Amino acid sequence: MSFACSRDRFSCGKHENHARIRRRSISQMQATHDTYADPSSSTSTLKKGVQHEDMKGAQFVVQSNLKIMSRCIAALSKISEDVLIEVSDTGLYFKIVNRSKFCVFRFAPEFFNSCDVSMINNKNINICRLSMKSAQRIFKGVAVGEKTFVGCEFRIDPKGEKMMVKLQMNYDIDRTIHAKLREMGSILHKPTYDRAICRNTTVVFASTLLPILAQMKTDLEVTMKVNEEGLTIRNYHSMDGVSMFNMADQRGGGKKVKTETTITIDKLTRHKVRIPAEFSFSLREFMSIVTFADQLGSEVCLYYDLPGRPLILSIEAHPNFDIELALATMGNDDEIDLDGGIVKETMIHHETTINGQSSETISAKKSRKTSNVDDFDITSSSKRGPVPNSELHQSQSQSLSQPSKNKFIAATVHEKTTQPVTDHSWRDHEIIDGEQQREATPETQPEVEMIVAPMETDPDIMEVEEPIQRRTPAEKEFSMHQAMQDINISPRNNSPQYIEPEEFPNPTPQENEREATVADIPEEDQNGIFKVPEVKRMRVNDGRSVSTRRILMGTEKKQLMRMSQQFNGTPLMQDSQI
Amino acid sequence: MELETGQVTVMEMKKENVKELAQILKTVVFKDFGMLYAFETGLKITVDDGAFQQANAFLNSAFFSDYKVREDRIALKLPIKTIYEFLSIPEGNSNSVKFSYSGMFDPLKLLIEESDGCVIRGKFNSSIADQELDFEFDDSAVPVTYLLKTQVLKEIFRDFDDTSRTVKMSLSSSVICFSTVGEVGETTVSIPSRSLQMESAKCTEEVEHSYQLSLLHRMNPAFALASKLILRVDERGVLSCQFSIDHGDCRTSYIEFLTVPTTETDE
Repeated sequence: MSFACSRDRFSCGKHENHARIRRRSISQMQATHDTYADPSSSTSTLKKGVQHEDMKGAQFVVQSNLKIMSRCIAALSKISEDVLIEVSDTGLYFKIVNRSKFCVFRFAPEFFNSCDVSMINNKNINICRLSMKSAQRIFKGVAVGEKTFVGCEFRIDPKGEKMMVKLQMNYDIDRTIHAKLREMGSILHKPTYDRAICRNTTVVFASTLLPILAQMKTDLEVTMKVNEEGLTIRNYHSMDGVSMFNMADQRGGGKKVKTETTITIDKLTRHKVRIPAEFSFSLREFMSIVTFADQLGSEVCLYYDLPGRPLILSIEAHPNFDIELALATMGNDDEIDLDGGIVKETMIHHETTINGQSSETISAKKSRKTSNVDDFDITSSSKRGPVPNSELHQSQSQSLSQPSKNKFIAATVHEKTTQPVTDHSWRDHEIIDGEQQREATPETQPEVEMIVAPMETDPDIMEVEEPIQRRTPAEKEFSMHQAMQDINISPRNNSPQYIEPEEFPNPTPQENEREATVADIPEEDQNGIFKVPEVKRMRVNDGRSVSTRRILMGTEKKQLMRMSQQFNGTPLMQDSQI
Repeated sequence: MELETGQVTVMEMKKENVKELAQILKTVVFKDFGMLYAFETGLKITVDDGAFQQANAFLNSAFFSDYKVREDRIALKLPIKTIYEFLSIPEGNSNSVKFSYSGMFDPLKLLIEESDGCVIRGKFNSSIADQELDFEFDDSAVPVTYLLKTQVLKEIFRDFDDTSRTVKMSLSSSVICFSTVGEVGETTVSIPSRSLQMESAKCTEEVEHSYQLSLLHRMNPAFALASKLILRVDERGVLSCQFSIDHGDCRTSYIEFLTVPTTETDE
């Protein structure tokens, strides 16, 4: 060990006869406690050697996952100036806590090649603070380059003043950093959001979402609008370089939309919207996490609700670590060209009709909403499998309901997040009655899940058929179909336009008949209602099947929305979720 | 050009592939002016900042395709930064440059010819060479010598903590340690002698010296171009870094940097 050598050198080499070697006074070669108190003192190797022996704290060694850690620092660097590092026997946590945003990266002990937290007292609060600049400097050059960095060892003592990071590079070279930790404030902020009460869920591949956000990179905020058909992200022309969603434009009487991009439901792995909503949030943090997800090649899960409630973005694809970001959202209080007033109306309407609109004859908003809370959308396609109802209550943390895949499930509740009893990952909602769990390989998973998606949405027949044909039939679709039918009976009967996509390999008379019924719908109504989804039909040829529409002024969408609502003639029902 | 007028030049040389020459010049031009010394065996270009550091580039006569020096002790002070920019104008490898100089009070003339027929002419006024800084580096009294590859070392030097003013080098026969103290805290990079990057290490005495980071950064282009480095420190702590640049065909050029250590009281 190089440190052993250097210690030897100084212990035997008292040949201080050369004036050129300048040493500080002997008194500084004392016990290590001095070094902690006096970080500005001379950095002679002797003291460093002694420091290492006495380093208390948790030790983590990362080798293969080192790049992931350095990318996570890169992502966090765009979110805040400081990072909180917490150590516990459930792993290592990097957190950012702020009034309007909260982000946590959790690394399970299995993420590391070795993990020793025996010296950490779990009853204490083991959090320390590191400046983001220091963190960036520590990981400088790590994510880039192929084989330069072999591994990294952390020694973190939350009570100490320094954190040691030793990076092993190739050719036996190593880089050791004793990073100064900052003072911790006395207030520990606890996040107060709760995924369980988010009524909307979307899961999408980061690679789908990222190019859209990249277009809007320069904005502070973007607006996201969701309805059952898809997800729309929009940015506005800014006044004086600042664009705020709820700032009324004095001149035009409304804000002008600059870019609007819609991801239709077939491009979303999962999209469950109980309350269509529209809100805006800060783009920078959102995009940095989506970029991170894209680098991993994974999906992002979005949990959100109405404006004002936090938007939660999480990456749950890996068993050994997960990421969660909660952002504050803002709603629009002012009239804007595009949706002025509609948003509110919609919200009220849907809040109260969350459980079962049925008997709509011609309607854009089909009632895929099931009639009671427990009947969540079914998919047997999750790679972690669905969970029978009873198991939901066991899961404590925010990952998979499938036992054991994610290491945080068994974590005790010392975590700051309030642990809801149900509902962590959207996957927790997937219930199948008597359906055996399927083990889909990760490769097939996205495909299979996309099959699921159309079942949840409004049947836009033209649209849904195309993607269906691309997918390979899966054997179990038929049994799933059965299960679907059992549960979602009443709404389905009333909507003749509902499609069962599982039957696509052999087009049945049923399907053909349904097509006929669609054709029966009066042309102008169909156009009127479907005009909004019609945009989806325009496939952009760049291989990303996302429709982009650049709108400079408000459109008649406003009118269309209002028109569509005329057909929602069902009596308003109480929102049992609240 | 002198050849056209028939005047005899004091020195003239021709070099194919101007880019090679430009690259070497780039490693030493940290100041606007420098000295050019021409000998029978080759050229020496020296740049120094007057107090702390000196860089020398040694270009063998074999480096040039045509090399004639007709006088002894030719020493010129030239605007080498401008000459470097001039030599960077052409792109590609199929070009050549001719130097010619007819003596004191005459400008140094350069002519670049490109393969497509484009011709670029430059005239650079010279002046009497300054007194060269003599670091009095005694080659016989060198306690520490290392022969290293530059491959990893260049990244190490590049990644030194910018918030630290100095870099402390602790040199021993078993390991070289570079330490910086900056905003982040202390950072130490250590290269053990068993590393493949260290080809040989000779150390009669363990020493420790600090150098200003800004001076070390001037060596970054040399690190990028060179393949090997001989690192020596003399008794006073003056650091000598000799880079060898391989041009192929057994032609090698050398760059040397001499750097004075900082004293503790400066920190």
